[in-house]
Order: sequence, then structure tokens, then C-alpha cells
Amino acid sequence: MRAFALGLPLLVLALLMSVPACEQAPGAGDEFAAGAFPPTLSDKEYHQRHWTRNDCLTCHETGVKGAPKMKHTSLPPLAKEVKCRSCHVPAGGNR
Amino acid sequence: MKLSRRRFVQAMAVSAVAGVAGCRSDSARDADLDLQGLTWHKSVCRFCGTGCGVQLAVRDGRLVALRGDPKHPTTKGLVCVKALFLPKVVHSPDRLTTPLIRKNGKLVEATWDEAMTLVAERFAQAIKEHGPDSVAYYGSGQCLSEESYLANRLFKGGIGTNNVEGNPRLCMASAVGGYVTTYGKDEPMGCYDDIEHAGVFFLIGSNTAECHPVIFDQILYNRQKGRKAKVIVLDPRRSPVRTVADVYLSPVPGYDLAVLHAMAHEIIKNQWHDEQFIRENVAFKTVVDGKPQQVSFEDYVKFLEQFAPEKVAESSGVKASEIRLAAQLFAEGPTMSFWTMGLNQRVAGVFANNLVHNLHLLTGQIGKPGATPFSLTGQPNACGGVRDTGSLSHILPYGRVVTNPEHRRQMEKLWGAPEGRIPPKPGLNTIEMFRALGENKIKCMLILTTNPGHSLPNLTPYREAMGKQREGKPFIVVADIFPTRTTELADVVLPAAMWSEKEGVFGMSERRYQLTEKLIDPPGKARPDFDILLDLAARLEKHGVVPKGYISDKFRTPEDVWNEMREASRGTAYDFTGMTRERLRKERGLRWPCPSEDHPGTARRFVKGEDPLLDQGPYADPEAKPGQVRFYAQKDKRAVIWLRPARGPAEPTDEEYPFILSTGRVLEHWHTGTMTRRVAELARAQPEAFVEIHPQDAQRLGIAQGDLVRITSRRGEAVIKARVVPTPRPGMVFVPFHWEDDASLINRVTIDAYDPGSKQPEFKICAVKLEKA
Repeated sequence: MRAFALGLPLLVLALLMSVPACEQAPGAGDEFAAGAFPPTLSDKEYHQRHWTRNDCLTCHETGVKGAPKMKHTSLPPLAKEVKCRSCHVPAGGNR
Repeated sequence: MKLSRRRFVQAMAVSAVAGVAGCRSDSARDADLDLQGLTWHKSVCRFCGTGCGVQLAVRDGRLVALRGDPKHPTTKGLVCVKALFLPKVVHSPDRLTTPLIRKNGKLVEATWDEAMTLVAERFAQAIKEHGPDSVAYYGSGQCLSEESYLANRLFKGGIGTNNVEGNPRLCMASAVGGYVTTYGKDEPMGCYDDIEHAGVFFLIGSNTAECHPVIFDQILYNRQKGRKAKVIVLDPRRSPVRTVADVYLSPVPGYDLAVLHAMAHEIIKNQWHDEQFIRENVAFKTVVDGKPQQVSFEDYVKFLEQFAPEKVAESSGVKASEIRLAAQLFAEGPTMSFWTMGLNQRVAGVFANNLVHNLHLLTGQIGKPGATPFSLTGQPNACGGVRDTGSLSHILPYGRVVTNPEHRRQMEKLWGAPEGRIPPKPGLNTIEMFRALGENKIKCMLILTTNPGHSLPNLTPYREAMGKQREGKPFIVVADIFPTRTTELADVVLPAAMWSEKEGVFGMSERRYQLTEKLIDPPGKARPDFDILLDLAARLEKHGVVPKGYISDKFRTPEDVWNEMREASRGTAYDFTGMTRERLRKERGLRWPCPSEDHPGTARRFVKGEDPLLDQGPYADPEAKPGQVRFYAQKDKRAVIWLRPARGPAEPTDEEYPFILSTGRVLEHWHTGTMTRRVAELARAQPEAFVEIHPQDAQRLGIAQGDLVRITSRRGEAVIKARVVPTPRPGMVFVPFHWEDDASLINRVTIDAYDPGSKQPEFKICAVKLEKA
């Protein structure tokens, strides 16, 4: 009961302050850690040819043209210099 | 899923913090923040042979996240999407959790004792009635090293059969043949550190971008931010690696050996070869009447005359100017070559490997930072687990071969096997083993952690060999983590523990042995393959077909086996006696040779000052100077430049079958897809099989994007959706082999012709016809 008494106000606080919510990473929830799995790529033309691109954060850190804003603070530096496609796959199967 | 009070409070706290932190549309969400507060454990990815260092988070007995290990010395925190989704694979709801026995044609649940009693009885009966060669083991480059070693030990030294094979025969046997014939022993001399130092990358027959993404990422980094290396790509398919090529050579599939000779021709013609290196370290050989014969440098030059770029251009489809440019870049170096299935899965696979080594030896692009030939591998433990432990039909642990009486004696002594128990003749190679199964000559087969009912070439007769009901049908036992196209053919299915549910060593492509520890329990009644093998061995001892106490008195844990493996390596070119379990628990892997407990491991073999075996032991060379290369695994310490014929494919195209079919992989799925297809995100990204057809061919055949195409060879057919793209050469089609439905099983179409040396089948080339279905 004590845990629920502590948890309930926190839940209300979170709901109040997190609107509008950021994009939920797939797999978040109790089964796996929140943010465990990399978001998939939308079927935009500019996501189709990305085998050498490492400039995705140009849009995704600034939110240009409505790109969901993300950053990777703890990724090793090398990972930010190489292709994002290694970890982010197309959502709908278009290549 | 039940939410515990502790987890509820944690979840509320995280939500509140996220809210306070301003997770709103106008501020960037930190993808990594969520993963803070977890406890991370060191591990290794279980997919390809890159051997990425990873960290795993465990909560309430479950894997809840995986991330790259930034402290890993070679992969440096990089991983690919397949690894990131591994927790979903491990906790997939359709894991096998209980043993199954086939009764009246159906697999029904059984206890472990019922299943293992049946397995042992059938194996013992076969051995007693038909001899040791009536049973066989078919393993995998995904078994842990201790498991493969133990199976090899049980079958060769315990039962007394060399019918020990595994799926590395399908993917890397030609690379082994190339290393052994050129340098005297298997495995690369270079390492991943060389990627940073290379000035030129030669990518041949390797879709590195999709099949080894972390290697490709490091190549990209070098090219874009590091040394600004140039890239030569030689591949008939314009796979994503083509996007980084400075020089792109697109040969007609099967005719690339002539291109490699043409590059050598050009290197010598322009005097780009390294005369001193050749004088000190190289021998030239050809084969006459089936026997190697030494020839001179001048003989080699004369041999290469037939491969002048202009002559080769006609047969290979590669322009002479491109061959010249590639040769020039290669010679400038430092050059690191990467290859994989495009060279290995060929009837000329060993020759093709030899010709890549020829280029490195000719130019001295070897044994220096950034200069090395490097065969990439497709499984996490094909190198350390199968090649090194000698778990194929012709070899014994750590560079020994079954045809050598002294090698057999050494292993029988170490194993405590009766003298003469290991047969002097190699057992059946993979294709012949499954043929023998179809002829009922093999009566029982144990299959661990692999899916031959999907992955073998010319699949139909081999599926029938395993599963077709008939008089005298062999008894098939399969241990795996999921139902597969192989478990459906089995008489007994054993539920196996998966990576992270058991402990053992993976040995990846750069000779690095890494420990992966048990972090969670397997589901249901699933057991590690190691325990299954111990159980089987003890029962076979009781049946009297394996010497009493041969395994049951010696091993309880994987560490027990590991310590014998270290001893087996002592004094060999693989010496890793210094790799104690304790060190492997602390370190992020160690590269052999590592002959003492204070040795840090070896980056580059055969190099004085780096390779400890040049300082002491049977291969010591006190006269060599630091930095000098000494190919000590050859008797004369000289690596071999081979004068190999430019052999073409087993099944050239003709009027009836005018297209070349090549099979391969995509980034999102892995091999037969039994793991990755169970992850929703990966399945959505690549949901079904496809056949890539060049637009010119598609137009001529009236095939449009998305049409179903019937692909027919002399062996079978598949019906697959068309992707009309200019990726394959005209006249060539490409199909990834990950999907298992009957229509998509492309291995019903592929050919089982194999390289006479390596016995590796030619998955990459067969002749087909196409029609709109």
C-alpha cells in the first residue's frame, strides 16, 4: 500500500507534465527497458538511401521539417560518425 | 505481465522524471536517458562473426536491454539492429520449452529422461549393429566452443567416427582451404585494428554493409573521418557497399578469378610488387598430376600472360582500365581485403581465396598495420568453435588433421581414448553426409543449433533424407531454441538454452576468444547443449559404446572442458594456454596466440615482435628482426603464391536456364531467419522474400515490380515477389534466403556442387529460368 501511495501522486505529476508526449520507443514497457529498442524509420524518400549517411542528427537534433527530435548522449563517439541505418530499420519494408 | 510494487514505483518515478525533464515536442528526447539506472553485464553478440562487445541489462530474471560496449577494444560500442533486438528473441513466446518425441507421426511432449533414453538407445543400437560410422553429428558455428569441442571429442575419440560436421562447411570452408594452402595453418594473421590503419580496402564478394554492419561502419569512419581510405569493390551485385566504392568491378558471376590474376599481371608489369618480401617470404607453386610442384617467379609471370587485362575484360565483363586502377590502388596500400560468401560459396572457392592472398604476398601488403587479407565470418563461433576445435570431418583440434598419425595419437592421449579409436580417414563432408542419410547408410544423426532443413543447397532430397517416412529411415535428433524447418523433420526435438542462458566462449573472426556468461535461466525445461552432450555421453558409456568414464568422469562444467582445450592448444600455432577462465571473465576477450597467463594476446600473427610464438617454442625464430614476417606454419617458412586455373562455375547458363541465381542476406535478418523473423520490427522491415531483377531483364520478360516470379532450376523452383532494381548485373538475379515458407525456400533451387578441396557448395551461382507466375 505504501508503494502505491507513493506511486500515485508521481503518476499524476508525470501525466500533467509530459503532454504532449515524446515518441514512445518500440518495446518500452515492463517487459523490456524503456528505450531499449531503436525507433524505426518512416517511409520518407530521404530515408530510403542511407547506407552511408551519418548526418541524420542534423535534422533529428534540430527538428527541421518536423523530424522527431532525438539525441544520443551516451552513444560512443564513433557511433555518431557512422551510418544510422545499422540500427534503424525501415518501418514498412521500403528500401 | 504482472507488475510488481517495486516495478510500479520505479515506473512512476521514471515517468515523473521524464515529465519534469521536459520531454516535449520542442526539446530533443535523449534516447539513452531511459537506459540509465540499469545494471549492465559484459557479453558478446551471438549473431555474425564480428564478435561485437555488448552489455546486457537484466531485470526480474529477464533481459530487458542490450547496448554496445564502448569499452570493447575493437567494436568500440558499435552494434547493429539485430543485436539490439536480441532481448526480444530470447523472450519470444514460442521458444521450445519441453522435449518432444515423434509418436504415430506427431511430435508429443516427453520428459528429458524419456527423450534421452530413446536417443541413447537408438545411437547405441546403430553403433553396435552397423559400426561407429553409422552415426553422425552435425553442429554449428553458433554452438559455444566447449560444446563443439565436447561433441567432437565424444564422436571422434569416444564413439570412433569422424562423421563430425557442421554448418561452417557451408559458409567458410573455402576460406580455411585458402589459409591452409597458402600459409600452412588456418585463421587470419591480421586483426580489426588494421581497419583504422588501412589506406585501401578491397571488398570482394562481401556485402559488408548488411552482413557485417559494424565492420562496414568502421570502414566508413576511416574513409570519411580517419585515414580517408580508398575502397575497391569487386562484386557482380551492386550491394550497398557499392555506394562507397572508388573503383567498382562488376564481373560476370563466376569469372572473377581471371580478374584477380589480371590485377597480379598488372602489378608485376608495372613493378609494383615487393621484390624483397617475395625473395624472403614467398614460394610459387602449381599442381601437376595432382601434386604441388614448386615453380619460379618467372614461371608465374609467364602464367599470368594469359590474364592481361584486355584479354580478361572480354570473359569477365570488367573493363581493362578498371582492372588497372584497382591493381594500382591495391599496390599503393596499406591494403586490407575483406571477403566472405561471394568467394567462399563457390566450386572454385579455395582457388579464389588463394588469388586474394597472392595479391597480398606479391605486394608485401601483409603483416603490417592496415595491410592484411581478412576473411569475414558469418557466425559468432565458426572460427573458435568449429574451425579451431577441429569439429569438421577431416580435422582435429588446433591445426591437427585426422590423416596424420601423430596428431591422432596426441589427441587420443589427451582425451584418454583407446589407441587407434580416431579413424585415419576423414569422415563424410556435409553434402555427402546428408546423401548418406538419404541412402539410410547413416542411421542416427544429432543436429545442434542449426537448421539444415532450410539451409542446405538443393534442399528437396536432403529434406526427404531427414524426414521422409520409409523403411530404415534414419533417426534424427535436433536441439534448438525454436521450431524450425528442421525440427519438423526430427524424431526427437530437444529444447535448448540460448545465448545468455548458458556460459561459454565464442571465438570470432580476428582470433579473439570472448566469454559469454549465463545471466538468466532458460525457459521451461530447456537445457544448454553442453548438458545435453554430457547426458548423451554418460548414457552411451552405460551402453558400452563409449569407454566408461571417457567423459562422465572428467567434466562437470564448461570450464572443465575449457581447461582441456587450453591444454590441447599447447605447443600448437593456436596456443592459448594463457587464457584462463578468470582472465576471460575480466577481459573483453583475448586474441591467440596467448601462450602464458601474463601475455596480452596477439594482434598480428607471423610478425616478429608481435607474435610470441616467434620468440619461444617450436616456431621460435631468434634470427628474425622486429617487424619481419615469418610464415612459420609452413615447413620452409614461405607462404605460397599459387598458379591456379581461373575455374568457372559448376553450372553455366544456357538457352534453357539463361539466368544466374545468387543468394544472400539482408541487414535485418540473419541466416534462416528463425530468430530475426520473430522480432516484429525486423519482420515488418523485411517482411517477405524478394527476387532482385535488373530492369532490362524485367522489361524483356514482362515482369513488373511486385509481380510473383517463378524461379526454376534443374533441381526445383520457388515463387517470389519481384523487386525490379538495377542492383544485380543484367542476366543475374538475387534472392535472400531468410524466409521459410515453401514458396520462398530458395535452397530448393540452389546447387549442391561443391569445391573439390574445401567441399563447400556453390550457393552463389546456379543457372535458372524466370517466368511471371
